[in-house]
Amino acid sequence: MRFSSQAKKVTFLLILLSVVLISSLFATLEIPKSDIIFSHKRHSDQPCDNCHNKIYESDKSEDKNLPAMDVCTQCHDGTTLPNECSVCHKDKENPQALVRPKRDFIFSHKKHLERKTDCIFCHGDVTKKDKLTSENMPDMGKCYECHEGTKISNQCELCHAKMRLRKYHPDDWLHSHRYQSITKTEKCVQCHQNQDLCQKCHQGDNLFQKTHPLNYNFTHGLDAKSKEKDCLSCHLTKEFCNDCHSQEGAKPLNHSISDWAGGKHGEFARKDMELCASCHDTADPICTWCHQDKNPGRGNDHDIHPPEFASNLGKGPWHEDDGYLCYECHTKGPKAGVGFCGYCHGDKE
Amino acid sequence: MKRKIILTLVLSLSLWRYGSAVELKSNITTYFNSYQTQDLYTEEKTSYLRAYQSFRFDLNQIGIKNLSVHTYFRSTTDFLNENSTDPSTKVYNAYIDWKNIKKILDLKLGRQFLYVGVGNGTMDGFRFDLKPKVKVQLTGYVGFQLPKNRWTDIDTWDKSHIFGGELATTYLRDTRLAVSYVKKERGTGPEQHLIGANATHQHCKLDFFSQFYYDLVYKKAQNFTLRGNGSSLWGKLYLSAEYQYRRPSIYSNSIFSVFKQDTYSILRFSGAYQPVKNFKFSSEYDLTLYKSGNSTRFRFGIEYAYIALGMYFRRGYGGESNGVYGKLIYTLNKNFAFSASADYGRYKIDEEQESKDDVFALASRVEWEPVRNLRLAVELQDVRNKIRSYDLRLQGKASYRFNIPFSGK
Repeated sequence: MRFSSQAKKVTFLLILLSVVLISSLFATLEIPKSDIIFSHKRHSDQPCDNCHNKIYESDKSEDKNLPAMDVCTQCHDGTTLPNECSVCHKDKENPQALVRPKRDFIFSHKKHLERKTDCIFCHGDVTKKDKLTSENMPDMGKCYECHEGTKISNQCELCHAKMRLRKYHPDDWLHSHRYQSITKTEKCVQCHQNQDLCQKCHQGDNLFQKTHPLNYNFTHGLDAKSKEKDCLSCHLTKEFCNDCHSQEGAKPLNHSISDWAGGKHGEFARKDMELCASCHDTADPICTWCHQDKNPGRGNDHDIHPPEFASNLGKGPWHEDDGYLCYECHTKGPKAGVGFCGYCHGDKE
Repeated sequence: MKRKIILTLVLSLSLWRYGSAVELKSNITTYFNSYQTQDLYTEEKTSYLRAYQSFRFDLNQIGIKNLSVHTYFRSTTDFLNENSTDPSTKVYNAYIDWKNIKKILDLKLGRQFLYVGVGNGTMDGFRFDLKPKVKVQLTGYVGFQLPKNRWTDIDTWDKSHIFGGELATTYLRDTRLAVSYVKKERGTGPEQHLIGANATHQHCKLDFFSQFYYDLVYKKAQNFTLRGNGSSLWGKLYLSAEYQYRRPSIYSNSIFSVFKQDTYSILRFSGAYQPVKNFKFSSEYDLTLYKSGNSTRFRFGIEYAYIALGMYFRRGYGGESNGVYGKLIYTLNKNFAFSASADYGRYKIDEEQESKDDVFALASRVEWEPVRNLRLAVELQDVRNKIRSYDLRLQGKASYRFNIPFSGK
């Protein structure tokens, strides 16, 4: 069995893709896990500030508000409660301190507690859980429940004084945000309220190169053919492209090559019909000058319509719409009756 | 249309008296653009000076809690020669938004930007988001499509319409599953009729995304995408890999819908590595595979503190290009920033072209925020290409944003 060079390339690249994904998966397994054994549920008879004893004075997000070992040993003194290493440490031979995640936003527990905010409101009811998860750390949606923008501000700078957008947006954001905005819209709108920001780039005027570089007038053909950008996501290409490309001097160069209207244009068209359609759509149905039905009324021309084309379409708008595109070609035939219906149905009423 | 917008705003503002607290958020931006065009036949040059004025208003808590009005539009004035191809007024959005009704329902009415599964675009219509407490969300929308290049008009149902929706669930932990549907019609019949599904899953530092679109008119798969990316791998590495299968986006009411069309696939890899603070490498590789021929793109860049340098090249169908670029972004303090960029490239967009053309662009920009609510920017652009050996452009921008809380009766 022989494989074409293209099939080999695809296979190779799919293998490479799998390797990247699998290696990334193993990479995540290296995340250090906490050595501490602790159940909030088993300590539910204690008030929160018994262990988090500095919480009422904590004015910064980076404050160490998780209890140090001397807090634990106040109860776990070896007499009232056990104090062996293995009670709290998975690895009793080499006990490790709790790993504290870095915080780089502005937050004051002190101010929130002074306003009588209940711990459970932000952190959920931890007293019912043995092991805490990310659900017990408030995300920005939780903040917005109070910081709704009227009574309490929701300006970004209130919490993110050192905000660096790149940290919140991945490195290939310019490409990948199309997927994030489908599936993580709720995260986008936390900062970019009402999706208005999309329109600034996607329907804006591009004066400051936000969307395309300055010489894009000349080089955009490369992007359009290589599909690096999906032009249709912003531009109604039928109108937008035609504004310039209808001019003689702005015609694609390949239109001047020999045998263009013979066989070459068909090769290009099959490969990349989006480009043809961007100029020659219904406003300029140049195809129909030559691509007439060779056997009018006697069946389908497979060079134009794929097999079973008509039967796949079902009852469509052409039955009622005199301006429908089928009329561009299908106007006459040897057994044709009156009008477009007669093309298929003869003189039947 | 301007009158209608102003009337809507005045009416909305007057409603604040019936609420307990109304907030007006606004961003008003004035910018101007001076540029030159050249006639392809006569080579006659024409200079333009165009001013843009954009307004964004968000009026929150009108009478009813969580009821708000939003609008964003811009108009232009030509001081030197008129540019007729670009509409002078664009109403990007103007809608009423009522959020969190009974804690389960959001409603939107008016011109709004839509991006819901397979459905996207600007719509004049109605949208609801139903969010019962079972980790399920149902979205539905119906309305008129934006009239072609007529940003101040509204179409009729016969001329164009759109409707669709999405059902999504986050029932499985760190996973989102959704199915969506859209039907667009414009004038001469169905434009787009798609059904789609997408799934995302997050596992530690990895994100996975998959998507499948099926065209109900052509009865063929329209798009299949599989993507994975990992952030902060080993603390310093970002990787992404993506495969996409596509059938050309030919609307079903296009004359081209009757011809045979070849599908194509795109493979894309990107990565970034930050060995030490302020120093980063990044790279992207794309391969577009057509049934005959392919197109390859590669970019490599280095960033150090305020400076970014890079190079790129492409080969294959679509032409060739290679070039280098550099950027400098220097923030003097929180109120003052300077940036400059340069890009030099050689390209040809067709195999038949014998030699490559040069393009060069240089831009420098100063941004100043004299007070918290006001931002000023000036950018000078020097653009050189096969048509213009010298083209200097000046852009200016003044953006003023404010919040006005009104207290009602």
